[in-house]
Amino acid sequence: MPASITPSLRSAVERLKHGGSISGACFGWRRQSLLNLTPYQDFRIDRLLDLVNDAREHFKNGDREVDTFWFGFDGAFLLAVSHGDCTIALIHTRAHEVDFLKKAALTLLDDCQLLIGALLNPGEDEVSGTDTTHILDDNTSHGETNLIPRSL
Amino acid sequence: MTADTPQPIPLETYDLKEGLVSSDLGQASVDAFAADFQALRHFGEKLGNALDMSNPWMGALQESGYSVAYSTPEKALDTLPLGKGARVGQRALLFELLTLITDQDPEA
Repeated sequence: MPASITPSLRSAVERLKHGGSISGACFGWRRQSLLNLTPYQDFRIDRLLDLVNDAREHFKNGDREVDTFWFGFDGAFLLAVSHGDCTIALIHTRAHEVDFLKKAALTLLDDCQLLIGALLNPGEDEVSGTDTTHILDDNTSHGETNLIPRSL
Repeated sequence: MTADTPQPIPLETYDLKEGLVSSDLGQASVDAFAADFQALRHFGEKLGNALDMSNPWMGALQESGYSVAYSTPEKALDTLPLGKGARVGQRALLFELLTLITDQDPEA
């Protein structure tokens, strides 16, 4: 599934990355990194997503659903926003943009739930008559989405 | 609202000094903040390591109807943290929360 949704997400996350003072953005599904648009190597982003999920589970053990973590480092901030199984982590430099970035990330994650729901439950849309399919078929997208293969 | 429903928490502030959390609020409130502070500090340090950065000088978390944040003025949490923390029973604006607990301009 991750490979299926990556092309559809890339342009959306790239647009988000160009908002505000973001210097890096990554997207994860569960503990798997799907998109790494940061200057960091993939193994570092995998570790980052692991840690965000560990932190969420730490609080989940106390019946708490933490969806946002924000940390300030020397020269950069890290904002991690989660919704369901998906997480967006943004590295940004201006503190005052955090609430705007969080809202934008949450909106993107909300949209992703439709995409993931359609992939996990194919055919459900036809039964319900709703139109929630946002998946770009590689054969019909005519290169509109640039998929850059990642080396694992 | 039933008796079991948790009461909304007003903004509560805490001092971080020589590795201790102190406040005029009750012990339960201090303990609750200290637990969140320790967790934030723990995961913040690990995230910093993952990104090859120093330890975080501030951290915050949010869940439905609850926000917690801490900041240290010297922008480091090496051994004994010195700074302020706050928690509030609502989904507060993160920057506003940081401004409240940061004496100096967080952008500086």
